[in-house]
Amino acid sequence: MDLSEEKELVRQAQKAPDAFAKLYDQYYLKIFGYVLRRTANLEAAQDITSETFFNALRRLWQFRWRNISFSSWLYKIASNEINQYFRKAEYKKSVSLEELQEQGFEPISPNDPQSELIEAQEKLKQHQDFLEIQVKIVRLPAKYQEVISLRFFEQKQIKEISEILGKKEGTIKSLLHRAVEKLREAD
Amino acid sequence: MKHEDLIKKLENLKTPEIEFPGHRQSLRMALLNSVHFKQRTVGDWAKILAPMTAAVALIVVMAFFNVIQPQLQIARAKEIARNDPHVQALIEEYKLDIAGVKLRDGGVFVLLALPMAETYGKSTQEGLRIFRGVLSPSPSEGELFSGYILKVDLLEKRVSEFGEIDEVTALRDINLEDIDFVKLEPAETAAPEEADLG
Repeated sequence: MDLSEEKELVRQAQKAPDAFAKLYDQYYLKIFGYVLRRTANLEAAQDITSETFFNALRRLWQFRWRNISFSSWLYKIASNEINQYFRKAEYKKSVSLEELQEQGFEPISPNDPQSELIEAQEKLKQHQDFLEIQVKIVRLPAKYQEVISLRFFEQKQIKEISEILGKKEGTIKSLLHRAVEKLREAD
Repeated sequence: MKHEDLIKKLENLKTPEIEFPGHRQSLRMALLNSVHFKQRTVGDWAKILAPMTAAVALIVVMAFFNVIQPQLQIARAKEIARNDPHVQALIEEYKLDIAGVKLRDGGVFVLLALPMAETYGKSTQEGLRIFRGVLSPSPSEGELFSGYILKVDLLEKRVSEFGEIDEVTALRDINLEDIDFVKLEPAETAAPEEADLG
């Protein structure tokens, strides 16, 4: 979708469900993936992604193209929701399939939400290298978590990170450098 | 680990790409069925607008009773006073004029005084200060003036009482409670020459 198409879509999405659905389809995976990589918690990722899109829908009328792209705006909302999640310290322990089965749980069907969750949890566990780093990143202050995730996990350029976080590019570079240093010290 | 090595490690890190079709679909449905997109019926608009309408109506009513109605009463009182034959006689004989109107305790009081009192022009913050005929603030330098306070009956559309003001030096000296009001009969029931106006 090019920029002019997206602009028109965003304008229509304020009132037309079909237009909003297209935006949702475009950005769901990106936002969900970002939230999951920040939290490493599937249930929290679902909740935060839901909150992000509901907030976006409510505030769509406030969105202005001159300051920030729509993608950056969505990431910004998601970042704020993630930071709020960490502030509330609502860390839910992820449950593995083995643990649930030990407790007597039997999956009902492939489409059952709980089955989906457990299956996703198993996939997540396969990324041990990522999980080891993620645990250390989560202990950093929010401003460092954000720049590291956006730069290395979401592959965002400095310009877009500065749009998302509302900070100057020089500040982002500086934050990134310090964030990597902090992570290195924690290693 | 060196700074550059950590950066390389982060850049090459394989991150999880997990899909959640069930959540994706259910969230989509919830968003598209949300209140945001519901077409509002007349009833919905009525529910939204009713409190606003009530608030606006309340403001209008308050504005009417606090601002517009007093102004109307003042204007009517002046007109009634000017049209009253007793007042007309005073104005003609003593060259008086309406110098102000006061609303107090449900009554309307009109000050008849010499026009010169108006030239002082400023209102004070004491007593019957809204009367336009204001004297200089200091009694030692103030001019004396005398006149009449008329009580206007808006319902009967006439001047119902009057009281004299003697040698007042400042508006703050005028106290309605100290004035001996004399009742006036309606003009059609009493001949003008029988009214004791001075």
